[in-house]
Amino acid sequence: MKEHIVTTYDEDLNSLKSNLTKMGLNVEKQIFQAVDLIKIINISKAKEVIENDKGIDALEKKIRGFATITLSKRQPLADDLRQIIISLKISSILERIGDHASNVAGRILSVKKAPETYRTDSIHQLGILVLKNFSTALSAFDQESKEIAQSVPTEDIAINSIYETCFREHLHLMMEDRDIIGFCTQMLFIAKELERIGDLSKVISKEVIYNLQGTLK
Amino acid sequence: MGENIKISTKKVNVFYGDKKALENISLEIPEKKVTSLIGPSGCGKSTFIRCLNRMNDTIDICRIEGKIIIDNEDIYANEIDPVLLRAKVGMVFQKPNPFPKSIFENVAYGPRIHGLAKSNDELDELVTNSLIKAGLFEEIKDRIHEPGTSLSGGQQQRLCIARTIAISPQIILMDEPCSALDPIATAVIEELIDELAKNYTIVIVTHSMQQAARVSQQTAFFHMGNLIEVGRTDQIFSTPSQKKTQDYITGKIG
Repeated sequence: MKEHIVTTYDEDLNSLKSNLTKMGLNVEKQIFQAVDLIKIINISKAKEVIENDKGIDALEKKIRGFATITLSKRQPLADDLRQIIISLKISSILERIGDHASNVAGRILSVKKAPETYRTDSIHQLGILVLKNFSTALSAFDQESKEIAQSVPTEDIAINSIYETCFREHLHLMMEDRDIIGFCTQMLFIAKELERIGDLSKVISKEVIYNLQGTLK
Repeated sequence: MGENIKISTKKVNVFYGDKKALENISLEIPEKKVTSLIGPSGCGKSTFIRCLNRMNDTIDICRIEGKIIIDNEDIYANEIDPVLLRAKVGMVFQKPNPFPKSIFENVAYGPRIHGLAKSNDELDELVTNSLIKAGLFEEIKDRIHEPGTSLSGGQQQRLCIARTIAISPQIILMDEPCSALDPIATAVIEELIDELAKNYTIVIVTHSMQQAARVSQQTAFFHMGNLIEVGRTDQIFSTPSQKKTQDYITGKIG
């Protein structure tokens, strides 16, 4: 990679990227903990996830401020300009994903504990796939890899199909046992939050490709 | 770009003595659009722009090969009168260079020597219209007989533009017209370029990438005497196809 004649310009762009990577890793941790809560309900950990979302929001503000200053200071063009545009876009997507992880924790707080007759692990499995695909999107950004980015939308198709399966499965569970309708409804809301994280991971991968190719597909 | 081509250069080579300043430049410039020429100092963009109205004729050691066609006419053909050519292809320079005469006389000079006005009234009207088109009239109408050099830098540059358009050119060449001006005077000139592009074909040399991005529809990147890339301005500044262009516009070395 060629360097800018003005070295502080490189420092600015590197700093932007490292802040974004840091934000991505924090969000990844939030998704990991939220998914874990689906398997093992833990009220204090759920509260922790909700609390940690504030840190993610603060990072988004920081990145936005930094990107704005860099735009005005450097008046970037071509790939430099795209890098800043995707920083703004991806930080906003990460903030949304953080909200979804926090919402999962919120649902866990309201169900408190799982009914004994509820034995399926399908939504937890969905969560694991969603987490994995998010991590792939994050790696694509970090490594600036088109190949890695291209695998994300393909995997998201599988995630959507599993989400549909979870939905039908829970409809059946609710028809069979009216006592768990309340719990299953919350679980379906959780599944929806996860499915949204999947979609947003796909958007991140598209931004990575845009950054590398210069055109939106 | 789907427009009429006003200027077309075909395999133009320019030499200063033994030194080759431009190599094999083939470029089409659309009519009534703004074309920017960008590139590092010494890349040949000013040399190129000076070929378009045969300003290089005044340099003894300068030799030109290839063809430059304006309106289907080879401007280096024997029958072409460079003086008439320069009336058709006007030029604005980096440093405002008003004549040491009044504002009025600066603008009236060209129409007089080319016999463009039949009467004094007609000349007055021509001068006024030129100053209006150059966006200067309102500011100076009460002191039109004061020296041109008494104006501010930005006003002087607009006076030079008024002087250029007074002889009804079809093409205006601008060689870094804003590099000696402050940001406000620059903005006024850029606004004027937008307005002028409705009636004139404009070719502008600029060192400001942002200026090229703002004022032009087509951009050509020159490097060491070669035309590296030419294309729609938005494409050149967002997704240039050549690595050299990308490195230049983003300020990279490697």
